[in-house]
Amino acid sequence: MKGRPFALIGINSDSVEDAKKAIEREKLNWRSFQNSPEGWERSISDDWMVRGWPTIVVLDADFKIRYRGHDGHEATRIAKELVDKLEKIDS
Amino acid sequence: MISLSFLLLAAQPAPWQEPAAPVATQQEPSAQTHYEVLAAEYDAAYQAWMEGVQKLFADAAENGETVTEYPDPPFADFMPRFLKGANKHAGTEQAVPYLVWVVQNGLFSQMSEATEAWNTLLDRHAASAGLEPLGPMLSSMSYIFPEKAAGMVAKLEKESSSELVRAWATWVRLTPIFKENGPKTEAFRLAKKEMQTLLAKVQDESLQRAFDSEVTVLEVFGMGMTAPDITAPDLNGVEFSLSDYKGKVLFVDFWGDW
Repeated sequence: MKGRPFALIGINSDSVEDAKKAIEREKLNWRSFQNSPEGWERSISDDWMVRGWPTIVVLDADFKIRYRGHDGHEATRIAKELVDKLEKIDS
Repeated sequence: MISLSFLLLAAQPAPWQEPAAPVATQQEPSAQTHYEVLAAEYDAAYQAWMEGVQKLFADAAENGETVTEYPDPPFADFMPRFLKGANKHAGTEQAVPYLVWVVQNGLFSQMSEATEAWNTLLDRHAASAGLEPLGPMLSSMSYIFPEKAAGMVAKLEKESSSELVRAWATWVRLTPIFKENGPKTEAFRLAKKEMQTLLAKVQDESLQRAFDSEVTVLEVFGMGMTAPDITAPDLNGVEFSLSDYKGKVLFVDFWGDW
């Protein structure tokens, strides 16, 4: 998906060290927020009412929710469709 | 003494007399009683298992160890006994609590028994109010048996004699409507109204909870809703915002390394 109008953003619930280890081991190259950064009373997952992991939310170019759930394949399919559509409009 | 033995003799019906109306104490224990005894025995075994596991964890914590393995709950020992009860009363209402137990306790450990029991319940006991304890499991079951989901929901909604079972079935039927349509759509609004009317009628706490937790989330994070922005540090401590990426398709993944 390099060079295409798409970004994968993680929200990581582990400690920063564990997350970095996992990223190195799994060769993950996406950017991640810390779910509950030091000094925060709330976590991002609370704000987003996440009740199970993993949870995936797919947003379109207007920041509108197009998928929310636990099914990575379905989320990927929807994201790809949106990217294709977006590229068609842009070209 | 003579008079006493006379009385005792007289208490025995003479063989040629018509037997008196059956007296409850003369019968073998009823199935309900047998089920209750068995269920209580299982509850005690489960409690003992639970305490054993808790002790395992407590001991390990004391020695600075981690528990990697612990025994299964005592499902397997009891499964044949509940199945036997179900078989003994096959086709009658008395089989229902045994089958319900098999579904409840086997669904995540002994799939084939649980599946068979669930099929039997649907085929022969769909009208029974004895299915009420399975209400909260209906939505998991519609995930586990996706090819049967629509059929079982329709059947229970139509045939169950229990208002509560019918309400759970309605909830499972409407859940995808809530998920696939945004909260601003007519479909969502109608489904919500239908559920609220039902909930007012059945007054069931766990159905209310299921509805509240799903629908509250979807009213904010449902299809087509604008996501809130996030501004927080990345793993290197550098602050950034989700909206930095606005204009692209975003795949937001709540993850962890487990």
